[in-house]
Amino acid sequence: MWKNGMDIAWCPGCGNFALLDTVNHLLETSEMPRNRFLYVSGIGQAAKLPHYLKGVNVFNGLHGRALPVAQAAKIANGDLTVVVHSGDGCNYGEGGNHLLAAMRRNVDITLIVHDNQIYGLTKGQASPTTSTGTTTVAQTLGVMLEPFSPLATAVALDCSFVARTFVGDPEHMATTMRAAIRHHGFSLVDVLQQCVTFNKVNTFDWYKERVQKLPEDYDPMDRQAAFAKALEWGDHIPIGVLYVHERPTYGDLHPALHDKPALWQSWTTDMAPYEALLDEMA
Amino acid sequence: MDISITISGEAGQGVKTLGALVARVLFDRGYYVLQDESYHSRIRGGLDATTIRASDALHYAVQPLIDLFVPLASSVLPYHLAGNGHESEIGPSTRMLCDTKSGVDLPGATRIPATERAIALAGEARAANVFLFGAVCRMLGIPLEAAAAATRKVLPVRILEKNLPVLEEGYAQPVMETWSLPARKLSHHLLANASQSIGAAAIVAGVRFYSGYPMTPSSGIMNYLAAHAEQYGIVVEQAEDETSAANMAVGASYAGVRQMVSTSGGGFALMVEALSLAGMTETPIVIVDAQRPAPATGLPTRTEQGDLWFVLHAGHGDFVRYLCAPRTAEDAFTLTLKAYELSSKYQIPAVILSDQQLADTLVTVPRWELGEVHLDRHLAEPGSYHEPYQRYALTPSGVSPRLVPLQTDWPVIVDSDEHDEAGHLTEDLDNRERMVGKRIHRQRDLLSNMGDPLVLGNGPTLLVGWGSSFGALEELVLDHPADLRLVHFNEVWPLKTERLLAQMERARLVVAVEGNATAQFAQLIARETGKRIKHTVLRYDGRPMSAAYIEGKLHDLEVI
Ligand SMILES: Cc1ncc(C[n+]2csc(CCOP(=O)(O)OP(=O)(O)O)c2C)c(N)n1
Ligand code: SF4
Ligand SMILES: [Mg+2]
Repeated sequence: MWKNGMDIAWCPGCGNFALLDTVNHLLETSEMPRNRFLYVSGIGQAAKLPHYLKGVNVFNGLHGRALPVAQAAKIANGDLTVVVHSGDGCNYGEGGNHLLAAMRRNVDITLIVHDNQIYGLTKGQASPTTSTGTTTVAQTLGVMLEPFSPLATAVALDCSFVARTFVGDPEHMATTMRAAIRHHGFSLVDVLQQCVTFNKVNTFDWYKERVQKLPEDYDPMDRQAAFAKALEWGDHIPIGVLYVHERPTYGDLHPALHDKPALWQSWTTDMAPYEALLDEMA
Repeated sequence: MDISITISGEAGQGVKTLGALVARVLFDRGYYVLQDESYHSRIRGGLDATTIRASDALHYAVQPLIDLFVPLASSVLPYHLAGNGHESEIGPSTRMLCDTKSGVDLPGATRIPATERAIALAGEARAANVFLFGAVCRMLGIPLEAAAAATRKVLPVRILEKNLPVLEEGYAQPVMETWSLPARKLSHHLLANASQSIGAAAIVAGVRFYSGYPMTPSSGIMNYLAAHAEQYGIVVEQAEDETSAANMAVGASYAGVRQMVSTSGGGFALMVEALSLAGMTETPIVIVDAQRPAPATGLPTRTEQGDLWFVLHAGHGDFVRYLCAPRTAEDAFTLTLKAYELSSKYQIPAVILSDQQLADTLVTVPRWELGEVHLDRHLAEPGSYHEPYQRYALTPSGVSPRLVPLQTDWPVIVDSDEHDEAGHLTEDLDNRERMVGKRIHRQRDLLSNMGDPLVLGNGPTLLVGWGSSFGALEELVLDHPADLRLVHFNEVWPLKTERLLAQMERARLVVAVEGNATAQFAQLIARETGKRIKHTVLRYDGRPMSAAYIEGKLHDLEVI
């Protein structure tokens, strides 16, 4: 489909378009120049998003491996604002171990998961968030596995920022994603998104009927409450910032990064400092 | 003068300390020292042995016959006596020294009350090793002052005072002064293993990011970089797995930092997809594979040259890589620098094939001249690229000017999918052909950077080797220069074959000598030159090559 002069590889009606509009809106309204942004993705329909942005750095890596690349790039160049866009399969399935480690490592990057509860690009197999019982081309007997709860997992791991939003509410999506990017620490935003082609259960309307914004007086610092909220799924699905724990990031804690010029700039051809390495072996 | 001293005990008995003391005193006396480590994959119990070979000429390999044997426990004896398909390391000329408490009951062994006196003098059974060290020095004809100086360097300050009287009494034992090792002059030399020399070269090359996952025998590199991280501002990150470590490597390098990853074969297996990613995105990365016997978990603490074929072919699809295989710890320093240079210049992955023998063997090396090191990250200079900047701009060499994010105002766009010159994914099939050509084309230029293999000796039998087998092969060929000739590679891909072919042409018999079961390098030669090497000497029992081992096999072939 053609949009903004680009051949975009998404189906008409796909939830990714609304997400793309929101990212463009965030870039347009950001006071930071575009080249300060690095968009990293894995592989999947969602992971194509960075290619449709203008003027930003892009690393479109391997399926499941966006987070290792994104964290290392941020460590290498702390002047970059690093945002990962990838699917539920990519982050909760193939890259599951990286997600757990990233929450613990707390590098100051943002992960936006396009959660359509299905594998889109490979044509409709179950993802870790597909509901039990759903039949697919691969799960012909229906999914037998318990669905993965990204937000409960994130709260359990004390992830620094945990949120959920929905493509059907662009304003909410923009506010949530902006807060996540501004948050100092590792941020997870799970974005409920319809896949019109392969997910006939969790449709746009299905989500629309169920999502509920968190109440005004909700306290995201309360971990127990956040955990309870994170487990809510069914007739009511909470959206908003569920949990915030401001804690020192990897960059704050590491002496080679904290209050230092970006790591990639510490480059020298002066050999004098290295004689000491050889002296040690004498 | 060429003496081999073996200290062997159960893990945790202090073999390391005693070994370090002996190596230190011999190095400080100006001898070329080689110290290998042989240990089991456990922290307590099991075998922990070290052999120190000291001589007035440089050697890079151990030799199996022990001159002075210091067993710390009787349980280690079967490992050193004949049996299990190997020959005895203990011969009629071997002298033996042990603690009366060790339970070792070998005829002819000199027994001294090490533990008993250590407890009496220092209140500490572990000081027995210092007692033994004193007696060893006496047997070697090394003055007490030299023994004390080495002890001061090796032992932590807080236990030093307690240990010096133990040393003196050990030295005063009625042992036979069997050797005489006068002080020699050996200046401008260092004592290093390849974990240290690779680690030091990486720091010199500008590495500021290390990602890895612990795996013997590669962890020495991670530990070395971690130990120097604060001093040199390095981020050392223990990743959640090797898959992550290798993808982090690509991310860090994309963002402009020189990185290092080290692993062994099993971990490298998990890095394969990232190797392919580096190939596709044209991101320079450097990985060390410290080989150990495989497949699967194999023998964690032993050595082998069994990953060549794997590392050569690892990664799906066609892309260019550089593979080097250092001969020695000294060579490992130089080749590590070269790996960074070529990987950056050609925007390709480079893999350094080390192994347990190189990683854990301390050896005397000439001090490297840092003044001769020239570093270049090969980042594009202003004006060297067309605007708007395109990461994969087509060029005659295939290599595009490389910028990193925020180096200029231009964004840097890379993709693991097939992509166009701008870096955006495309399924245009004509573009595909151009891009494959671009990525592959640089191999020719890369080949022109490969050094010739080393040639030694004049004999009619040509031995062909690569990597860490060098020490054993060199020693053997220098002993039989009229019978044997050696052609030895330390850069194994791309393979430079002219000199090899010329040598093969002249040879009466060609024998491939390798530390693996299938003569992987000989297979590579056959593939690249069409010439099959029929005779082989292969070792895959986990032990390092030695001149004596190869010699025995050549006797079977009746060539010497
Ligand atoms: C190592 C590897 N395994 C499998 C694939 C095939 N693959 C591509 S995308 C994908 C799943 C995509 O699902 P998701 O991440 O949810 O993204 P979506 O397409 O739904 O946006 C898979 C299995 C791959 N590219 N690489
Ligand atoms: S398959 Fe689903 S996720 Fe992919 S583009 Fe189509 S609607 Fe969107
Ligand atoms: Mg999906």
